[in-house]
Amino acid sequence: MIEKVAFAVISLVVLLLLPPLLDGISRKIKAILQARQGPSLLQTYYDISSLLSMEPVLPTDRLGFIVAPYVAFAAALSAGLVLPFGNFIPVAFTGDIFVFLYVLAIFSISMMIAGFLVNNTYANAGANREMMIILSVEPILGVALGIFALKTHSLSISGILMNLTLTPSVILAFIFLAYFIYVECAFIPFDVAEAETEILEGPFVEYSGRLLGIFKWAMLIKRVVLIWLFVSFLVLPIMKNIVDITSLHGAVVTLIAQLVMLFLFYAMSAVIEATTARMKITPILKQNTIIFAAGLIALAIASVGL
Amino acid sequence: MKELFTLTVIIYLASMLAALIFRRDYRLSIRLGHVFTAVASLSLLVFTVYATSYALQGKAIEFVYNLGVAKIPFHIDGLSLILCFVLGALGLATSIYSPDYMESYESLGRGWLYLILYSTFMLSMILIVTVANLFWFLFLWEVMTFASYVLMVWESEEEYVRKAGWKYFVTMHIMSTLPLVIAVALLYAKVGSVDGLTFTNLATLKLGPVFYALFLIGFGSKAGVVPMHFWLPDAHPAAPSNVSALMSGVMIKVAVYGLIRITCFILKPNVTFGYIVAILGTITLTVGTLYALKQTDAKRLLAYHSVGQMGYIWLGVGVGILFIAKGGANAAFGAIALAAGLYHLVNHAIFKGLLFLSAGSILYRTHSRDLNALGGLAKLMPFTAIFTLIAAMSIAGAPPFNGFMSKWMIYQSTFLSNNGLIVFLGVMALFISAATLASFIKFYTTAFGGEPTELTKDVKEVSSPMLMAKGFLASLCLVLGLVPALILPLLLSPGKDLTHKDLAGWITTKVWLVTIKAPLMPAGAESYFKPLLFVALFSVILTGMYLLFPVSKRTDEPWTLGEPVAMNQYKYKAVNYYEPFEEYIHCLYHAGHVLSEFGGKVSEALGRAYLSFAMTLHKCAGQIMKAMVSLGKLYVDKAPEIYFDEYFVAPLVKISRASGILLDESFAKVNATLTLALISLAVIFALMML
Repeated sequence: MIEKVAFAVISLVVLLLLPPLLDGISRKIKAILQARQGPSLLQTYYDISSLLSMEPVLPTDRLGFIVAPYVAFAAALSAGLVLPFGNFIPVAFTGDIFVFLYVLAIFSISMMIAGFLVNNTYANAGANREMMIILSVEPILGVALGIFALKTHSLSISGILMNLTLTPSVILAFIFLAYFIYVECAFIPFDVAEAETEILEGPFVEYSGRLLGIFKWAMLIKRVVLIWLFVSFLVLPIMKNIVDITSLHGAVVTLIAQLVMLFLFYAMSAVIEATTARMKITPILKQNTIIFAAGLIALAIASVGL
Repeated sequence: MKELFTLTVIIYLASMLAALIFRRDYRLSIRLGHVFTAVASLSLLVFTVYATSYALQGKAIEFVYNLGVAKIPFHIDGLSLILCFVLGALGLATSIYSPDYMESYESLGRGWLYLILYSTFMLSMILIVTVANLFWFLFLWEVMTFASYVLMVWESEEEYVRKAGWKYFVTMHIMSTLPLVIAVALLYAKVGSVDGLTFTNLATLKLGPVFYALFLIGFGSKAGVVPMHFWLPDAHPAAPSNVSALMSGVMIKVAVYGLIRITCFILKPNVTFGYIVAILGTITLTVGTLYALKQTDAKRLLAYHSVGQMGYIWLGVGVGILFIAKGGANAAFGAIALAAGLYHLVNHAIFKGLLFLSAGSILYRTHSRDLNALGGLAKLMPFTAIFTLIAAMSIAGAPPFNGFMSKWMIYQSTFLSNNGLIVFLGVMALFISAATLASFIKFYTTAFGGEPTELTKDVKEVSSPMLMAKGFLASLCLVLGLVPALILPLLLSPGKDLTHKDLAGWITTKVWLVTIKAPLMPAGAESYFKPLLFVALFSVILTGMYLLFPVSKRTDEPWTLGEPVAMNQYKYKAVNYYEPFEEYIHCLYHAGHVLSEFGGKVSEALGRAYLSFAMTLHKCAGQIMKAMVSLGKLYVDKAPEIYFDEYFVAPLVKISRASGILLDESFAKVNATLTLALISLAVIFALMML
């Protein structure tokens, strides 16, 4: 019982409190790589807490616009709560990867609806780009999931993790999944929807104060949730061969491995962010089409049994 | 049980009578008629609920209507009941919605005729999905097509409505009725009597692939499956919105019913046929939805989505047929896939019906369907906005609405198929789900988002009956998504009937839980989803955050970076949405355009050929008639004295002369010609068979 509570607390800390720290680390890494001093590691906490203490000024009294940040936050957090933390799943309303992804997609839906609801071309443009990115990257996700389903005969997160064996197509599926997650996290060069320097943070431009704070926090949570999914996909199939995940000791080791990998991947993405420039939307569409075509080949490889 | 069904039929007939009695008063005839149709829909729903418990035991309700001249057999099993539920739910919603909505058509008059057609349309569909004789199926099919055609061209003074109606009428007869007539004629040749055309009797025959092909074309073109979909985006928007809701909501589903009933229950499930249906479904969902993406006319956008969503249904049904045909452990999986397709059928009927009713409400208040011109309606029509958002999220597949549940099941049945091709079809379904989302975000945010425009500034919320109808459908969207167990057992029953398998080990449905297992799936890897738990968690987080961080409503103008921009020019128009993406896939649009031009020309040419043939035939007949009449006249004039027997003949000659002149007058009108030709065809057909 105590273990369960401990794991629950840890998972909530990972989902709620860790994201701003990871963002701080990412900012520091980017600053170092670009030979700047950069903000303190805790800067994102300061940003969010100061935003949360301020009353927002709304561009419209429309309910959808006001509710959107809360919905986005709830979506990101509930999606995170079905992921495995060691051997512990905080709220198992589903084990299915499609449900997980669709629940997480509510974040994007509310962001886009909010962006399109206001009379502001910058917000509209951001929402517009977000949708196009989703349109072009969704088939790649489909291919990755298709390969996992073909190889493990399962669509549940734990089912895939426990039955994964290393074959050429599975390696390709991991690459596609990683690409999808990187794009969905809206890291540079795929941050076209929230491009600060170009369209003033797109859908967020009309948000201020508390609402902006919640939205930003939700965004950071979403990133961690997506990376946590990928990390679990990597760590758990390996760990299950090394330790007994069902035991307490194994679970703790696995959780630590997951955490280490989370930091590692966040740092890696910071390196990519610091060294690339934002792409335009049409090249992204082209690039994603090519990757999708490659994905179809991978799917064919998987369906012949490799 | 049977009595409730008969009651429904009788009340529908009574509604026609009531409308006819009060035909002088436009409003009264429609209101009174719709009271009857609402009661009839309710009794159909009650019947469905009662009969479901019966059907779940694997039994069917069978009875015969003896009309004296003909005996019509009925067979109501799980598959029929699914369609009965849809017909009852949508019939109820449109019956509540229509009286107010039809007021905007008052200048056209003929309220009684509208109501008779409405009841005929509904009744024909109810009978189609329950009748157990192919001859009567075909007869009712034609009645359905005809009633829907006349309802569709209700605003026939509009050029585009006439054109769309013509396209619909010709396409349906060449591509839907004709293949079905040929198939029935071939079957008739085999069995030799109308009574021999009962489903049970036909199921004993061994039938070749030509029947699969004929029924596929016949039902495919009615369902709007690519490449036989070109009539649909013109036809459905042309009708009054309540009729559009029925056409998109139910009529095209009746085609799916026909496909499953005939190719699975009469013919046997076939692997190749399953592949064809699934692949056609995938092509349909891709083409239909990508076309929908660039529409800016509200109802046309919805109609294209009907094509797209029909693709999802066909995908599920096709995979179902495929795996049921394979047999063994696969058969159970196939039954689940079939249920997934049927689930989407029910859900699509509900949310698309709701969306058409919403588009109708917008049209009713603003007289516009142009998404570029509309805006800010959420402020003025708040309830309509909420209901539309629910429907939009349902069709886009956002959890926890019903559209998500059925899409989820379709993903399960494609991704877990262990078949590379089917998985690829699933990948396309996943991609198109995003396109659907894009399209409905556009639909919602252009019409309801932003601030009211010049066009919409004086708009009021629609009347409460119209809202009630939409609220009813919206709550169904939510309930069927949250508690799939309410309907899943019924949806699984056709698969059970076909496979004779116990599905308990493969799919579990409890109030709070759905679990799906596939063949080869390792232990403990089942897919499960608890919608109620999800909603509870989600709302706890949502309200928790709102209570922790509440906001006051301090508003100010949007920030324009200091530029003096007029607010109505500071928002994307519908045409601006997703422009780069549409440009990126424009070659697909172009190819589709070329193809549809070609298809349109072919159908136009066929239609013209048919028409000129009919006209020539009529002219010849007219000339012969004239010659005969003048011959008789000559004789009467010339005869020196009139004999006794001529007293008998002379009136007949006069009547035929007069009717010849009358017919000549009315045949100048194309639509009237076709109408008459069709009715006489039906009468001749009926007489021949009896």
